[in-house]
Amino acid sequence: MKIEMLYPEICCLYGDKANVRYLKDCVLNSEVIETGLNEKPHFLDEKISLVYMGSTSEEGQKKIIQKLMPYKEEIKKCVEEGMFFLFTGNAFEVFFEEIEIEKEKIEGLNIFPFKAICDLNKRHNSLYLGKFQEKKVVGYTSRFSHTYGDNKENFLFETIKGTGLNHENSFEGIRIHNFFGTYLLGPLLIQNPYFTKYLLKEMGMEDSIAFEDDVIEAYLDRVQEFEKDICFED
Amino acid sequence: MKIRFYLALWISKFSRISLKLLKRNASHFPGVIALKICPDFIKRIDRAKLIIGITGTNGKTTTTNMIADFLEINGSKIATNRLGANIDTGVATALASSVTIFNKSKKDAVVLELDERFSRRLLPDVVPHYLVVTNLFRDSIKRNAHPEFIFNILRDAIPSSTKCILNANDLCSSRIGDTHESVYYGMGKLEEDKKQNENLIMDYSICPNCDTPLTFDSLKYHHIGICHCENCGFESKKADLLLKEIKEDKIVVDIKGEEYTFPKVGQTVFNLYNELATIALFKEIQFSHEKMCETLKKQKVVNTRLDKDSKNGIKIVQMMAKGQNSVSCSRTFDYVGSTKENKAILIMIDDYFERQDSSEFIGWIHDADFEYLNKESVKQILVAGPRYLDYKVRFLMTGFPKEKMEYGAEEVEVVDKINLKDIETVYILYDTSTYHLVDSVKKKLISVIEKRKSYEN
Repeated sequence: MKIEMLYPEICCLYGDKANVRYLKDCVLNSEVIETGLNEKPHFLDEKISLVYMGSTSEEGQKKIIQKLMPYKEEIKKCVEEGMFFLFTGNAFEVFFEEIEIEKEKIEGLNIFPFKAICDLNKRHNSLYLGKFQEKKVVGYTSRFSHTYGDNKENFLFETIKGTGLNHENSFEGIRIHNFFGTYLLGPLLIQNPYFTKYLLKEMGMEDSIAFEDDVIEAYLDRVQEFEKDICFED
Repeated sequence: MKIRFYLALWISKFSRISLKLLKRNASHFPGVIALKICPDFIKRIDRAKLIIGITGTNGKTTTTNMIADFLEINGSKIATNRLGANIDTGVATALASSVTIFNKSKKDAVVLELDERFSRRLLPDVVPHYLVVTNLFRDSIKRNAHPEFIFNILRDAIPSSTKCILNANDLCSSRIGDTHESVYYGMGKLEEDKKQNENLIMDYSICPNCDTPLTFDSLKYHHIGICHCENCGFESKKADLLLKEIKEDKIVVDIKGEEYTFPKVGQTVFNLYNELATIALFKEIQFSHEKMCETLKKQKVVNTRLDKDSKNGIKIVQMMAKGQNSVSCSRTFDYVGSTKENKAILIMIDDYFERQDSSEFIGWIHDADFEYLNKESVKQILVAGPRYLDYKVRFLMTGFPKEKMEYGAEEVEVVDKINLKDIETVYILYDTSTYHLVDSVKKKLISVIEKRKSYEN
């Protein structure tokens, strides 16, 4: 398995990079390519099993859009051809039509028909409990932005408790072909072993995961906790 | 408005005295009342001759205490929030104590720890003469988002009349000097430097001008060090006060081409930065080298951050490792992991407040370098708190042997699982929110040590 981690120097907030470390623990002999901001992404020219990008700052988003804009059509083609992408936190917003940051409109890569609006005066923090193919998904979101657009047909997780793309939307993230984008951030794959197994299987790998019993034990404990009547937002 | 202000001042003073008589914590509540009655209370307080602010992600409380102690040792009467009540209410409380009931300053100086996230609200009203910025790193995700966000808030909030004391080795906060009058302190290339980056995260690793990976000529920890860009020539700031050598009990500092020796107050690199900030500040305030040495000799690191004890030949060391702050934890883990003696480490850094009615976001533990604790001399790790199963997975990811780990949801109860065989030191690593549990944990530990010792006899 070859994983390409895009821009780890700026897309590394909140423990996101652990997803890639964990996949490396799961699949023996897997290779990780870290692509820097001044490099052309490898997935445009070679076979990559999974392209990963984590959370970044608002300035980071602007920078990434600028770096990827010349490859916009090629990226679109990769998505349509079923290449696997996993974007956590606010990373997937760079693939949208537009990101509005404090009234400044930034043209996105326009690969997906969504728009993100970012208000730096309102941090939104929420726990998340959802469903992915009958298995519970747990996580956390902490962000300044919300996404607008219709993801009813291509959401990633069905929300049970917590926030979807925005306060009015009960569907979280997007799944378009094999592009998995979610506002859930941090160690998503460590916290959701069944989702990780699914992803590995879809990518043609064995679905055994590292530290399986311990990871599942922590997952079940968290699911049980999130199902209780605890405070989800603050 | 004047009446409201005086009412706020008097009630706040009265409540402070009452709370103190009742032996209750009086560092927040008087300020809560004052700000409720008079929202611009802080702005209206009569200014002391010297107002010093201390902000940054890590090292604020230690540096505030060093500065406050420094002034007191030299006979100054000060008002301070040295216990760490660093948001508006704590600052209002400290300021109320700096004036008479007629709002006349009665202190020689005010020393205020200021929360960096609150700087937008605090700095324009406090208007410090000097502002020490220790560093800026990623911190609690919920409050602080990311370092760039905090940097922008802080830079925009600093009044133009304030002189900044900045860490030249911090690529983030040192950029405040681009827009404000500043003095820089830092460390030069040292034997103790890291040979290469060994941390999981580095908030600043690329050139701010051209995105090229930076070359570090000297690296202390995370992004702290001296760097330049091979591509465009960008360089980190030059320190006006540069630590050149660390000796057993002293440090050698270059100030404008002349070398000066100062007593070494703390043992760790981050405490040396706090000391350098203190020296840089008092150099600006025109303290002589002799006076500074005399004063620093009498100082020690505040014991809410570090405390040592022993029982039946086993040392007990309490150290702060701020939860949700991956850099603070990594610094503590680095220090503890590098000590040579056989040790057991009890980690109790799960947020105490969040566990009451919610669940802590635990992603940050994957940014913290738990790898530092995967050492032969670490004979046992005990993790306590509701998120212990996440820590278990985190330690497994470091390669730490499962059989050397013990866990439990309750801090005090987990002590029963300690294995004292061959243990020379027990480290208790705690968070600010679990500090109140440390005494009970320590008591339990002492009783376990005594029991096991009598059993052995």
